[in-house]
Amino acid sequence: MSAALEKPQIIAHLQKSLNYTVFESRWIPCSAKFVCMGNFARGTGVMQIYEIQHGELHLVKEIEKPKPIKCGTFGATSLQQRHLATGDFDGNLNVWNLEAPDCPVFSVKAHKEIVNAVDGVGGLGIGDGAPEIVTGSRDGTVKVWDSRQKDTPVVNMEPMEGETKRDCWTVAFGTVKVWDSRQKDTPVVNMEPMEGETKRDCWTVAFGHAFNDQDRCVCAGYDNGDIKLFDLRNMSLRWETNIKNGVCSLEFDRKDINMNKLVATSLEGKFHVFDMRTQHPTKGFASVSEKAHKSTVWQVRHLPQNREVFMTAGGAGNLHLWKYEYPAQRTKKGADDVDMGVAGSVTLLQNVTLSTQPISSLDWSPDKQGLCVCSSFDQSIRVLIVTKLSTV
Amino acid sequence: MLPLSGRGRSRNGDVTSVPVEHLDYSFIQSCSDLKHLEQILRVLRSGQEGFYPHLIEFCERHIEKLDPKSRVLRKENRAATAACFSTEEWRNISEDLQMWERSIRTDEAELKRCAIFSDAENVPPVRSSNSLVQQTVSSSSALTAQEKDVLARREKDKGNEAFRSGDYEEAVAYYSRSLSLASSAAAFNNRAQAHIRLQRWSAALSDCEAVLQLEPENIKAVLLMEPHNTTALKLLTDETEQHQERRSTGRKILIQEVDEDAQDEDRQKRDVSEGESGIMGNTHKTPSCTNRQTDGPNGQTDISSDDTPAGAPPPGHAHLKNEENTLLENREEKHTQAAAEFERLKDEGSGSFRSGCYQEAAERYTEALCYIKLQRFTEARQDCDSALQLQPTNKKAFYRRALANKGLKDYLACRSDLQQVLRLDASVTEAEQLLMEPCNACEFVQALTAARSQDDLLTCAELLRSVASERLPRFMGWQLDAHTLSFVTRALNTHLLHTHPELVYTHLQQLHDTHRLTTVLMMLGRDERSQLSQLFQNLRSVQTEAFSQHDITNLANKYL
Repeated sequence: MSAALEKPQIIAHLQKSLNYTVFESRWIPCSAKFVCMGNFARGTGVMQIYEIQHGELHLVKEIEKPKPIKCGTFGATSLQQRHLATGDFDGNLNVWNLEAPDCPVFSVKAHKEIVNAVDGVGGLGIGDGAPEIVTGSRDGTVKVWDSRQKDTPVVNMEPMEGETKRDCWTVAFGTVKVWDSRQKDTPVVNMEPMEGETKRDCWTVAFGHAFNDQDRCVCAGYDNGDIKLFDLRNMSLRWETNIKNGVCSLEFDRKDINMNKLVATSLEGKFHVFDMRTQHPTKGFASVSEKAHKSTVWQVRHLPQNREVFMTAGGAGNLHLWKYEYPAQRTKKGADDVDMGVAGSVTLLQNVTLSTQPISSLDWSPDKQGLCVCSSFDQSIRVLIVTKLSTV
Repeated sequence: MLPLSGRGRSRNGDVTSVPVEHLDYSFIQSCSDLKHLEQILRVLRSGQEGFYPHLIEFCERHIEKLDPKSRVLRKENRAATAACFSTEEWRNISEDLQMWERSIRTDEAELKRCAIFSDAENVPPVRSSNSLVQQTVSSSSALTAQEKDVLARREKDKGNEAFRSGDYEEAVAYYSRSLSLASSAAAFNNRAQAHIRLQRWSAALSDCEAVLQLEPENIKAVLLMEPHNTTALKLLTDETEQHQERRSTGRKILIQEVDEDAQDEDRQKRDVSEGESGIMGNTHKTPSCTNRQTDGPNGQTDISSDDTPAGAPPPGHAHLKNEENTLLENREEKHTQAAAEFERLKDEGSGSFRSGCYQEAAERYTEALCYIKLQRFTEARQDCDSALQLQPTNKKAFYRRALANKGLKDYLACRSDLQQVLRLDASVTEAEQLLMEPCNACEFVQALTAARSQDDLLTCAELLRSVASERLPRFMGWQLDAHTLSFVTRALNTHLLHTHPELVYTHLQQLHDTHRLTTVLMMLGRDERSQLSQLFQNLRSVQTEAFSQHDITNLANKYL
């Protein structure tokens, strides 16, 4: 049917079976290569670089490291350097030069437990301002680092013992630590929970709102469903909400603009799209939620070339491609005559089932529209081509 | 209605609540409750009551009709492979990918070869504390040209996205940032479009000019000037209306409104423009044309993807010209300066992508039209002459020249040109009308005499209709005699009274001021008098607001 053929098609172009568990795969900017990170069965970490050559995947390099690697990002590096920042099972944050991977460019013991998620901003020309890396960990802390400040965090917002003044910290079960790779040992920003509070597992972090030198926001999602938005300019908690199910993945539609949309995926097959343009003092941001996948939604990734299109990866090995449509009016006057946002709607463009195991990571190529790499727990990586995205 | 099975978990409570009778074609067909249909579908799919594939399909189709976006219709698909596409498509896809591979490899090699700039100086300091997006990207000096291109393209994409979601200010900011890194025609084009949305005409104009400087063959900039002019003209009509303190209606239909607004043009000019819109043949199409153009930025993908301008295919070419012409017709004389600027750009734009004799000719007569609108008739005529030299059978050029001649009061030349037009294309009603239309006393009288000699009441009525009442004294003055008057009366009585009673009244009013009327009235014969009185009787019976019984009585007394 012609109508069906006009929808974007997801083509499984290449597939490779690996002999290790792969947790994350990321495209190397300005190249046809990507990096897969995971751990061997013997308990050591591995990074493999593959290149697409003549319709096939070729292994370019394999790097083995002592600790299993959970996550990585190229977000805080310049286009020429293309250093990879990784978080490992031991709580270390390392920045590697993939051409000379023996010694990390920057290394710090960021957390006491596994680094669940890492994100970078300010590199690759995305986002004005200092390049920074944020890490979220099972120890409930989220830290932001700058590699130039080696000894002390850029900003330290640790709550003091016994003080109750900061409401945000009493509810901030997790802390946020922001790292800059230029600052070695201490995070730029450190927001830790009070003593005695139960720590919550921080599962995901995302940078956003980085459209000039000063403004930046970090959003963190936790296992109890909390989503917290921290404003790094004012060093305050800007917004928080709870979506009832653990937050698996968070992403702003673009990091380097005035925050526009935030997608949060969770367990139980739901994801929420928040319209971040209008914040109501009590109701927060407007959102629309959608149920899909019938299982955990592991990842969400926006298409770099079109911020309204995003793909979600599910626990049943399927991918759904969505498009967000704005409502006629993005704001409306609420009952108390204060502006509140209006969420739009989400339509399913295409869905595809690739395997029986969850697809744990997904990454769009920043250079070619429609090319993406995904890795799943069946120890395989797939390179996909999504067609007709320009007419979507 | 027995439950289907004893076990009903709360999640699958629907399984227990669908009775067996509902699993039936006729029931499904008649049911329009979406929730219930979804429950039925779930029961069918679960196979608890047996497996009925055809019924499942039927139910799915029915649900699709009611709600195409229903969640139960989502199917699990397999990934597409080469087999799903035609050979042609697959070849395109794989070739595209290979080309990209090659190019990205060269880009990467290029990147590695560039000296590694130590960018420590240019990176902002470590965080230690303006929510507007800055207009220029800071710290851009140390970047390589390639990096700048990448960044510029990214800023442009951001601008495109902001544009599409309606944040035009933001879009302008991002485009400006893109341009501060690396100037590109596409970014200028898009910024011009954003300026248009924000109604900043001068900024849009300067951006369009920048594009045309960069790439004189840029079709998109030219096309941009169309919606530019459309919306600009809308604005002009708005202003004009405000000047006249008229309420503007919702959807502005350009031609009609502009024609109504033309108060400093005399009625003939208006007729001319009406005639022109007729000749262009797309009066009613114009609103859709203009709407289409303004929808262009939203719908077209060439903003988002292509940086290269699209070529103008021939049908689009003609369409463009039509639109240009239509838009040209709606120029307001009041804003001649703005109009002059528009037309200058338009001419430049139209000159830039046309080629060949025909196009030259077309350009010429479009220029002529501009000149006519600005009442520069000599230039218009010159342009028409050159157009006709290039293309001797161009009826539009003749028509334009006729107008020019009329403006220059060279009525003979005007008539001959109009006759040429009619010879070329007898169905051109506007030319006929123009011919018909008397533009001075001589013509009027000639026409009237001609009609009278043939006792052609209809023509006479037409003539009277097309003449303004105020002119009637002047036209009729020297030729008014009893015979003419009775003829006119008869024409008014028979034809014009039914359609334009107000006009009849005003005509009679004005006629009364004619120089010789009193004399003529004295010489009216009995028949003529009775005809006049009959006319007034009929007028009295007409109910209208323009005049009352009292007015008619007064007028009748003057005449009789």
